[in-house]
Amino acid sequence: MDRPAVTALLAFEAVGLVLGGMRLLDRVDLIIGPGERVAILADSGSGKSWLLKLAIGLTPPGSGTVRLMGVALDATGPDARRLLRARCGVAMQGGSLLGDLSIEENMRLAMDSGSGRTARRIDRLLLEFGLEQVAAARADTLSAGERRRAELARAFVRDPELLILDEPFEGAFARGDMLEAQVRRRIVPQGRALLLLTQDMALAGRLCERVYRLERGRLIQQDAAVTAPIATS
Amino acid sequence: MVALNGLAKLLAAIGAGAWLTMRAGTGMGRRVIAGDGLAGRQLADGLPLHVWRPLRTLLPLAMLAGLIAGIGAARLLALYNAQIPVLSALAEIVLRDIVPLLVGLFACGSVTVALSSRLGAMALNREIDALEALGRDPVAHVLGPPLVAVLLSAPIHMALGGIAAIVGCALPLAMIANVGWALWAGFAFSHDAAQAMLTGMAKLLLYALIAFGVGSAVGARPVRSPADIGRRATTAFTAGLLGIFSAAALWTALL
Repeated sequence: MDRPAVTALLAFEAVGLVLGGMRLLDRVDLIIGPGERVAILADSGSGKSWLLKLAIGLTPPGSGTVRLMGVALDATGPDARRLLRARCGVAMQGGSLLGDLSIEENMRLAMDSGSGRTARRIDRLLLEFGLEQVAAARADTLSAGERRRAELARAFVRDPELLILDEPFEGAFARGDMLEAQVRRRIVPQGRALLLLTQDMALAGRLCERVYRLERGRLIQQDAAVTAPIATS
Repeated sequence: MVALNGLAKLLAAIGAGAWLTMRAGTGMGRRVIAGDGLAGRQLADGLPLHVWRPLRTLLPLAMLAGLIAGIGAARLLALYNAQIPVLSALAEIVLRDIVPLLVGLFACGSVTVALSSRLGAMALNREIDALEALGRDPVAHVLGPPLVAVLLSAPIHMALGGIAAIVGCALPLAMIANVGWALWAGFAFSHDAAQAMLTGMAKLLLYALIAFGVGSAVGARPVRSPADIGRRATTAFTAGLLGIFSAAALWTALL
């Protein structure tokens, strides 16, 4: 937290959020630098998904500042915010694929051009995430597991510097381990930064270097000893 | 105070509808210029929904409206035998007022409900958030293709609906007033009738834009549950009806 915010890919500076009379976030500070992997553990309904929305500027904080790629989101216009978001890979809890588009179109939506290079990148991701057979199928006709894999594949399609994944493996029971390994391969060796929002302490320990718990709106850093035994078990 | 609040809400809704319609138009233009292949695919999906599918209902409706107007005119002709003023007035009123209003009401039912429901469902499924997260403008992506489809539908629906109404008029004119098709067609396809048809198309474009603006403004409001989607669709339909009838009344009074 003592590093300068300008080098951070994502920074929460004294961020507060009150919804329906309930304080979800209370002066939250968080800095994620390039290549850092950070997890936030939180129970259901404690404001985890709001952290994602705040991080990419889909909702403004009640107080404080959120900086994405060093830029204060509340000081920029919608078009500039979209350009900043385009440098992130996002997977939302419950999925957010566009139901009337095919899986391939959903992935193409994340790209600016329809060049051959883009097509090759999409083909590779479809193959890696086991989606090549359903590439042309409409997203709303797929199973929950397939949709989850497609959502994660789409998060990587733009070669993002920062990934924000909200319960990334929820619903992908049968191929959860394969999916986790795939995501790890695409994040760790390539030095991408990660903000993982989850209830799963073991997953947080396996994927991230720093783990926080969101309790009563505050982030409490977890000791390595708390997560490591579970992570290796 | 309540009236002032209501007026402020109405103005805000009109402003939101106009702003969304403009952004949809410019956003779609940018996507087409940028060679966005998905825009063409979405437009191809929107054309059957907004242009071709409504014709199955719209053409019989236009023919029935023509039949009703034709019966009235035929009864008048049976009484007064004033063929030139009655037949020319019938052709003009059918093409300038009746068909545009009928098609406008139909557009109101289909466009407002389709748009507000779709936007509500997309918001509930986090698809709008997903577009934002991908760095896309949701207005250009979601509203651009339907706007083009709705604007394309107006002249097509007006031309085909007008012909169906003219055919509908012909039957009672022949049976009650003994006016043959050749005589009626001389009035229905005259220079004045063509002018009335063009005015009708302009009116219909305005009605379609009103339906589009209302559907998008109502659909863009926050949705908390699936039940909200149905409520929003009803609100959009009634607001669209009011908008289209107000525009029709203003047009008739001022122009």
